[in-house]
Amino acid sequence: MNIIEIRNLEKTYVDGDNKNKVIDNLSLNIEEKKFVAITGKSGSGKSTLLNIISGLDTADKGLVMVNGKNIHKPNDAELSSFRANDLGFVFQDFNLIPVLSVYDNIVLPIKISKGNIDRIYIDEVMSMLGIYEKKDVLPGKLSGGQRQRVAIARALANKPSIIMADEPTGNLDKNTGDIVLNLLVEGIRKYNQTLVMVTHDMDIAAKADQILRL
Amino acid sequence: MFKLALSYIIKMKKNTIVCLSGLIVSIILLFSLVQIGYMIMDSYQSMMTSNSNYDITISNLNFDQLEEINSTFENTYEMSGVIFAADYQESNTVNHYIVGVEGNWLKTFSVTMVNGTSPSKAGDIVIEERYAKSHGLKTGDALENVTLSGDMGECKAEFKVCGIVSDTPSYTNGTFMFICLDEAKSILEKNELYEENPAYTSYFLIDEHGYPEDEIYYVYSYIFKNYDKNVYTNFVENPTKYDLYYNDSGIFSGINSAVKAVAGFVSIIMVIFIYYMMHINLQGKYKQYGIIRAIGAKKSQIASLIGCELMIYIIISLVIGCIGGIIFNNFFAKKIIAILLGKEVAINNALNYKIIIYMILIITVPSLLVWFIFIIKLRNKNPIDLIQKKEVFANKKFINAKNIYIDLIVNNSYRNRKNSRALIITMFLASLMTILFINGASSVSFNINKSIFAFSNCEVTISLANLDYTYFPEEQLDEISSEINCMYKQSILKSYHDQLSVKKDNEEMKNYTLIVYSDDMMKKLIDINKLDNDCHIVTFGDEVSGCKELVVSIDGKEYKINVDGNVSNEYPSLRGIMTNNYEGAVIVDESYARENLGFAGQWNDIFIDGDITSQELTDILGEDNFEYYDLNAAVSQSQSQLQSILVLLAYMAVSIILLSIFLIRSIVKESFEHRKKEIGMICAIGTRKNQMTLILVGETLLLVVLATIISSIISIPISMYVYEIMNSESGLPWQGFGIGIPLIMLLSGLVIWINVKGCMKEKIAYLLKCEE
Repeated sequence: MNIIEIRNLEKTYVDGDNKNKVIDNLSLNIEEKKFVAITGKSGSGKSTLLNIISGLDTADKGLVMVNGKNIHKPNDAELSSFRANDLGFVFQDFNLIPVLSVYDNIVLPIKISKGNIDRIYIDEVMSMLGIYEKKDVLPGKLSGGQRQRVAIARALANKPSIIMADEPTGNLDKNTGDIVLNLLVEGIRKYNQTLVMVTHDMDIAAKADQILRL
Repeated sequence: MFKLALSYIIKMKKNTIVCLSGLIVSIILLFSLVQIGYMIMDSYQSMMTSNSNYDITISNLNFDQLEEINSTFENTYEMSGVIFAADYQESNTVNHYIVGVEGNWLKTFSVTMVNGTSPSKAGDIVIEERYAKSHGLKTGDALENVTLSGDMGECKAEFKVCGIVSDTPSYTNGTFMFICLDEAKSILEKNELYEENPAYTSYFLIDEHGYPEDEIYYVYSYIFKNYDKNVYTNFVENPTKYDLYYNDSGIFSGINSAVKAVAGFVSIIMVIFIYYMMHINLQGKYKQYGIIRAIGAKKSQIASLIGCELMIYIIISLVIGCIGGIIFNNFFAKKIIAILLGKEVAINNALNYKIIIYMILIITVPSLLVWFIFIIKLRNKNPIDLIQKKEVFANKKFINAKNIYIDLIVNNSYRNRKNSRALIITMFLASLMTILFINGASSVSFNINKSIFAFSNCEVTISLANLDYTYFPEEQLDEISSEINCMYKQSILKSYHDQLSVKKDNEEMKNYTLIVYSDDMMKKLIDINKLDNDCHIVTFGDEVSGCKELVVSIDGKEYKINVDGNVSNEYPSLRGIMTNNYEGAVIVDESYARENLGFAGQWNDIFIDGDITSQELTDILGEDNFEYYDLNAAVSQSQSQLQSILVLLAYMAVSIILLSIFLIRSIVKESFEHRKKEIGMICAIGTRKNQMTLILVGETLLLVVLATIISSIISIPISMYVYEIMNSESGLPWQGFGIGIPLIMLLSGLVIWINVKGCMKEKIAYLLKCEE
């Protein structure tokens, strides 16, 4: 069953007189509970596609159905609710809130969506990712690998059906990157989630169930 | 969201400290400025009100009204109540007025206790000296079988003389007698002397320096709530003081407006500065808001988050700012002003509701504005736009200088244009205000000196307390003249009742009065009545109509006067004088009165060119029954008071400079903060830290210089306009440009340099790790 369906997607960036069409008439399907890797050259529109699917950016044309919801130009409340409940996002540069502790960063999406915090589940995720001991520490005191684990935990916190990851290992060394990736894949398998990951690392892409080349 | 807002404030210590300290300093300075403004206005008010005892007179109240007001305002006002209780009819023709008195009645009546004490119990009575003399009475004697009469009846009473007072001026040949107020009331109530209303004619004086309008209307409402149509109630404000306070051209009104205008001006500047401080603080969190949006926060939640953060800033800065303001006023401002004025001044630190509302408005308005603008800005942004803030590296507007440093300085200023704009606006406002305030102070100073020297020759006015009925004896005038320089003596325009009797064909005329008009007024009277221009003496009233010769007796000396004409009651001043039931009047012009009627040495008011105090006059005149009105002298003596305006302006200039420095610090800090990585990169490729310091200081100073040049150019026509308004002839002062601008540039440079140095202290590896 397709969890993501995209039809005739177009996106153009305009900078003064220059127009750069990064996505042109793209259509694709992603099945649920699969690990899908999106690869391609720099500037091919990988991150843009991910941002559009995640509701972080808007497309110029086309249809984007995620989890049965049309997220092309919905209202703010629907989109925010979608991001908070249906989606987890892992950024390349972590994007943690520096003034909140590890634990508070992780549960922030739940608090935003005014949900109930499942302490057992959060503790389990933190333990699985090896950051339980660091739960009261501020992100500034963590290593890059640890920060990305916090970001993954945050993405898993609301038990979303889809995890979006934009080069999650891009800022990490090979070993740390492998550990983080394994944890991420382990997480989605354990919790029956779909993972859509943008990467230019073909070794990582090889681990995916499906590879989409842009 | 509140917790997150609090986390931002607690954890982002540097940002919080910079923003909060700026806000707190704003509030402290504003608080101090407002209080100094109030101090200036209070000192003027006090200066103007110190020259007379009472501001408001309310007369003809009934007893209940008097009591009610007395009990209501007892703690606020100094009041004296008297009741004209009843007539003591000694014979068919002579009425003595018995007055119930209490409190400080001796101040209310222009009499002094010659012998004995005030009435303190039932049966006590105080009589006038002339009555005592004519009846051979002394203190302790009994006044038996006194008939007290009213319109409807009479009663008998007995009194014992407890005191004798100096003579009161009176309309008739009767006198005043004083008994206890309670006894007067009791006599009236028990004996039904009057038909309906016991014709209480009462008045009291309110001594409240300054005109608290609300309070006055409150008093009014008390009066009219109990208003009895049978009683004529009259409310009179001291017209001279009223003019001083509320007349548009009144001095106090002018100063009031000036201080308010300056305060308004500064408030606007403060609002702009506070806006920028808040804005810059939030601007650094764009990315944070993007991340929170990315993980599911609605726009309304971001709005709440920003609102919470601003609210916390507002509360903290208001509380600390007001407390800091009080401390600052007591420990610093007071001393600074004392040094500038050369004397200690009292700064009122009262946190009244007006100040609190003002402070709340000053900080809330820009905060709301920031909040609103952020909401608008964030509304049209996708989360990813906030997370990945786009840099504007390629732009055709960029210059390509041969010198790489100039290239970097100019291009960075442009690329970082939001902060550059804030910096330019701050510097522009700071420089402009500094120049204007310093130039304004200089202009005020010039005008003060000019006006002090140009003050009227007549600085002191003295007049007797009861102007209509007495005069300065000539020997007293001589004594005053011998000690001080009398420059001007006012014309006579008074009526004389007690000192004269008018005879027609050897028959004494009843209720006639002699009025002395100035020559100018007499001319008007003659014109109105179409009389011969040579008229010096005219009569008014049917009884003397057509009479050609009258005998006027003044102080026992008789003068025969030939009447030149008869006038009707047309002239407004005459109508005013004729309200006291006089049947007629003999009006003579001033020249004739001086030459022929012995008025040559009699003056009502004198104007003195010199510095003389009320006490010195008392020493010369030997008594304290004159009015001493010394506004001009008070103003001219209070040059230091006027200097307080200068202090205010200078203080504002310093405040603006200080605030702008804080704001510049915030802008520069924010500007460098999000460019740390870039700074690290430039250093990493071989640029020395000194060179980098030069680039960063250069790019900021470039904007500072640009803003100060613009503001200096703009301030010239504004200064010229201000000078024109102030009628200043001193020429444009150099102080604003010579002191203000170098000072503000020096301080800005220092702040920038400290910031840059702070940034450059960091290791390059750390700078490279910093996220944009």
